[in-house]
Amino acid sequence: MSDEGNLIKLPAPPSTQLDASQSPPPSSLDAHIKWVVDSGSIVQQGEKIARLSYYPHGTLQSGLVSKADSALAPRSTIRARMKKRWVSGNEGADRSNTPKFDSAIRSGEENNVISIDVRSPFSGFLHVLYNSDIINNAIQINTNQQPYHYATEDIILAAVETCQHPALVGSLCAVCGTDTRASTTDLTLSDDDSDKATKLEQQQNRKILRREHGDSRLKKGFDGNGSETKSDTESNTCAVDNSLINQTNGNQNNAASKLNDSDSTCEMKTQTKHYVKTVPSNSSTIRSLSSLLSGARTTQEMQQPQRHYQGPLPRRNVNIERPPTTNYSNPESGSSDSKMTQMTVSGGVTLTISEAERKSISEADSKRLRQSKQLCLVLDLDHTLLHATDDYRAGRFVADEVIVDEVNEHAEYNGTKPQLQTKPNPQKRKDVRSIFFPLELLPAQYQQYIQRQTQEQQQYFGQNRMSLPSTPDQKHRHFVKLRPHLKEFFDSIQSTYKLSVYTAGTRAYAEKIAVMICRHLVGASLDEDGLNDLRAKVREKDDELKRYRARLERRQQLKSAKDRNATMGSNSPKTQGKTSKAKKKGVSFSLNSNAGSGQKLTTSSEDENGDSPPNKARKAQALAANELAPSLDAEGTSKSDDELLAQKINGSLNVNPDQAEDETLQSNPKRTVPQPEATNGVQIPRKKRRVQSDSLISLLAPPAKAETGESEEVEELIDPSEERDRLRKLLEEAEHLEVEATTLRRKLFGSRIVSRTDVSDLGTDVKSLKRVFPCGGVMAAIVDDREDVWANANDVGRPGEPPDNLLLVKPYHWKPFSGYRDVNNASGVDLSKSEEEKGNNKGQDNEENDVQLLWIADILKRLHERFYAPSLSQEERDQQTVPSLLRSMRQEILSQSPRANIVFSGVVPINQQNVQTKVRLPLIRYAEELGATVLPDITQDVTHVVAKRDNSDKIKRARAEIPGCYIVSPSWLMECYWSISRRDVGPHHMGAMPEQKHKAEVASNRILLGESEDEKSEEDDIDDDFADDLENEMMMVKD
Amino acid sequence: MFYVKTLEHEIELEPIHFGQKLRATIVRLLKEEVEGLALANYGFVVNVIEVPEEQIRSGIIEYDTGNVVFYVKYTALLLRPFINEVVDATVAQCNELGFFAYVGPLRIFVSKHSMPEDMFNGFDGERDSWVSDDKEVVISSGCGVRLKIKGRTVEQGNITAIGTIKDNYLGLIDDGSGETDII
Repeated sequence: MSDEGNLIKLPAPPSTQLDASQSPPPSSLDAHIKWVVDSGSIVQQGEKIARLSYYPHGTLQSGLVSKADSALAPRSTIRARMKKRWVSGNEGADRSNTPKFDSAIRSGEENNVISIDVRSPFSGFLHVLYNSDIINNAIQINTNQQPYHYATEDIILAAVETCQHPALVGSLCAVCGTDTRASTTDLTLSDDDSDKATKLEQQQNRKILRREHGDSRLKKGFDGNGSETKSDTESNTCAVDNSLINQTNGNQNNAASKLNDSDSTCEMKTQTKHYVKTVPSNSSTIRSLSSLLSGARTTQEMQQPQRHYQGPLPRRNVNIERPPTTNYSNPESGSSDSKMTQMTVSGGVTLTISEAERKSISEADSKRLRQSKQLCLVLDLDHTLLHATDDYRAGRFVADEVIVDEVNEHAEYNGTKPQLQTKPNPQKRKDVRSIFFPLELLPAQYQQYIQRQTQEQQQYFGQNRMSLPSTPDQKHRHFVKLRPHLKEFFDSIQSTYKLSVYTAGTRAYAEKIAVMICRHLVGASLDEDGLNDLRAKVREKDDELKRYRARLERRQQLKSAKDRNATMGSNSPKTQGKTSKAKKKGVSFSLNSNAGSGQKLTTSSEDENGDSPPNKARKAQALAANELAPSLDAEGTSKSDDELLAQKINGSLNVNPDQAEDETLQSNPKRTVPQPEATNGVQIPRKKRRVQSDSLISLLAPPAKAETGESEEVEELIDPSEERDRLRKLLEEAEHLEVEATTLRRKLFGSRIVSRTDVSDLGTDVKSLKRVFPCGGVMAAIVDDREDVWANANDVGRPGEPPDNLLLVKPYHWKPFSGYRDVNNASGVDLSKSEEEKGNNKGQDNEENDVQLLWIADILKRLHERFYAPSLSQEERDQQTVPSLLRSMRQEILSQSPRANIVFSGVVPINQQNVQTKVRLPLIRYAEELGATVLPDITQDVTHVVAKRDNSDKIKRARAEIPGCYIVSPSWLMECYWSISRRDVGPHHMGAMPEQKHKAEVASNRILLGESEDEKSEEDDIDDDFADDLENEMMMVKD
Repeated sequence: MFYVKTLEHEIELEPIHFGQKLRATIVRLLKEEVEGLALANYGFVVNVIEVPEEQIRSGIIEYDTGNVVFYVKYTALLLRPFINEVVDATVAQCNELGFFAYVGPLRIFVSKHSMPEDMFNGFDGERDSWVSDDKEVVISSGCGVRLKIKGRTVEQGNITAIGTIKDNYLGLIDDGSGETDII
């Protein structure tokens, strides 16, 4: 006992407190309890204030240590037992009064003794800590000041309480912080069911312990109540290796022969020392096994110095009883173990949660949902709600304006150049939007990327000139076409469904798309970049207005000055525009005139800044005059002194009063030279810039004009404030909408977005509902265009087939984007298209008559109505699940009269016919799910023949033999499936409707399809399609 | 906890870098490679404070590639989480299982089990925040919390930790509104 030096041993509590009559060691249990209490009254946080030492049965007197026994007892057992014992001795005690022991206790083990340290939860006087009622069965801790009482029960329980690891982040238990991974290497055999562990553990324990230590003298402490003893001593290991102990449970199920190693490894963490002492023969094994521990070993090593007080902080969970069986599985096997569920939460962190936790969460979830009468909906993005591409050409649907005139290097300044003729982009579409995200590339990659982009741009500009909102400037731009009726779709479901997004895109992509959809929903026309552009424009306009005002003021001053000088008969000076050009030259000129003008300046300068020292002012003014003089000289016009003066005054008037003062105060002769330049020419630098790149600041056109014509007519100044106000208003609206969109996004999707980058297994295109819903999705529907990704998400039903809550939608492809590269994964297979449609891509679905989202909205509405049907009783409602409802909804479609009996023709590849696979072919599955009966061959019951192409044998027979049989293309079936409603066969029917004469149809069809019936031989029904196809193809080639 | 430590790192240079600016290149590359890294036993390298030039040993030419390997000693500012360390962190995300908070590069998860009992069932899905039963404490993203690190794990190049706010003097210390509130 290392700390014993600091501790005072108190006498054992009175034996009356501890009624051990029921407990196996009848001989005064209390005698084995020693109290060691810190005597200090002022404690630091975490300081040990008491130590409760319990000497296991027999050990104290005999001097023998049944150390090994204790080490293997499962934690749960010890908890139960200890509790029983202490509670039984504690009958009548008011348990509600038990003092709080939050984190006050650590336990440790030294020398065969369970010793529990009672630690102060914070700094201060002891009496602050536990000011509770005295309970019968209590530990009395005496300090210098007064006695304090602790319920022993609490201490024991708190110390023995094991963390059940209800949630894991990575390999860390989210509750106690134990690294559960530490126990993986030595537990290769513990993947079996942990449930059994608890059932078997008692007898197993005994057996194992006997086995393991049968040869040692330790058996001595092992009587009929051996397990009791074991469990008692067990608690001392609770420090570092919580998880190890848990694992021990699992191990005990295994072949007993293997347990020797693993168990001893488990103990190794805290007890190696002891083991070495007692069972020296074992020590080498332990050490070698310990060296096997990897990974979190480092972490454990970090804890070494504090080892005895490390690990899980015992939480006082007396009242929260968890079933001890819930989770003893380790997280590594957890991925394969159905007990542990992986769940992705916001931010893309995957947590592993235990069964109990999962249940509690799902219950809370479903309760909340039922209360608000909502259901969950998982949405896919690509090809379901939208079609995205990052192809540059798609920009033509986003650009505001198209450049008609010459394209120059400033083409990216969209619509801002007056010299560029632009016209509104005729192809601009409201539902095509663009999103940006920062490109995360290495510099080298980035260079390549830019190169590629610019090449693409150049190519494209070669053919088709257009203005593009901006260049890919460290950003990646995606163009997104939203599916038609998206708004209606969201409007109809957003109150009844809690939406989640589960996409194969990256997280950034998913987030951006979510916001973008919300922008669309609130009707904002500007996307992020548009908004930024607008902001920049407004800022620009603000600046412009500022300049304009300054100029206006200056002009007024100029005017007044002129008025003043009118008495001198001066004319208005003509051009000032060339000052900047001639300035350098003019300095020498002006020196001449300086002498003359200097005198006269005094008066005017004193007018301006009367309080400044006249000399300095004069100097400044003179220099200002210098600036102006050269323009006159350069022009070669001989002006009178008066005119010159007027000019000078102009110059000086340009100077702001403040600036003038500054100027005069900083009377540094060196500095005075540039100053006038700066003050006089507020516009000079701007002029220069304008010369360099007119177009860059083309928005400044009106003021620029005014500037050049500055001294001519005041009316020529165009007030930019109107334009500014207009823009500002626009911006305000846009900002408002943006805020709205952001709030909507929060409301709609919250943190329920899962993306490829979040989960490690989406790389293999596998989605699982459990990731989003711990409840496994009994209240969730899925909307996706791919069913294969969900194939393994099914718990019930046939394996390999998607779950019933998947609402398959037609993959959405916007025709103008066809041929552009997809951003994320490929779309699902569209079975409704025939081969030639796929080939030439003329499917009708690309038009705006795509109503898939309306169908889905309708399905979801029906689903919701059924789920919360008022006719249902509460129990019935609780029984409802979304999958079962959807299943029955589908079943009703084709099973209702007239019941559909379907024969497929040309759908099943020949090599898959007659093959009994577990997984049905999609079309057959759809038909069966919709309630139709799939017949192998034409019989009298057949109502529909679903055929890929016309004129197969089956079709011919159907037409000949069964009047009123529909010959439809698979698109009919698909539409039924997509919309979960019985679609009209009309548009999908092959040939004329069956009421007509069959022979005529056949003839006409033959002509239509360009097939020659004669070539067809009489084939078996089985191989008709495939062979037909082949043969037809061959015939075509011949032709 | 932050501390300063001298560490060593290996820099491989291609011959193109040999020249007058060799040392500068080494320092630059070292910073690029090392800053932000999580070293298993030392924690996050927050900043490379100093690379003493005399500590850059002369390189060793690799036989196969012609590249040169330099062993560089540098002093770095490290952030290493300790078990039972109490830190102030900023909440980044809340979810139904708890919340994530960050101390610089270190991500700390606080489970709902590690919250005070009156917050155990207090997740508010509408606001994405954890609310205590008396509605006084609202922990949402952007808030500052004081938490105690309970465990930590070293993954490849990253360290994550588990924290608790179920203890005295732990919990919300800043509601993220910007108003200073001394606790």
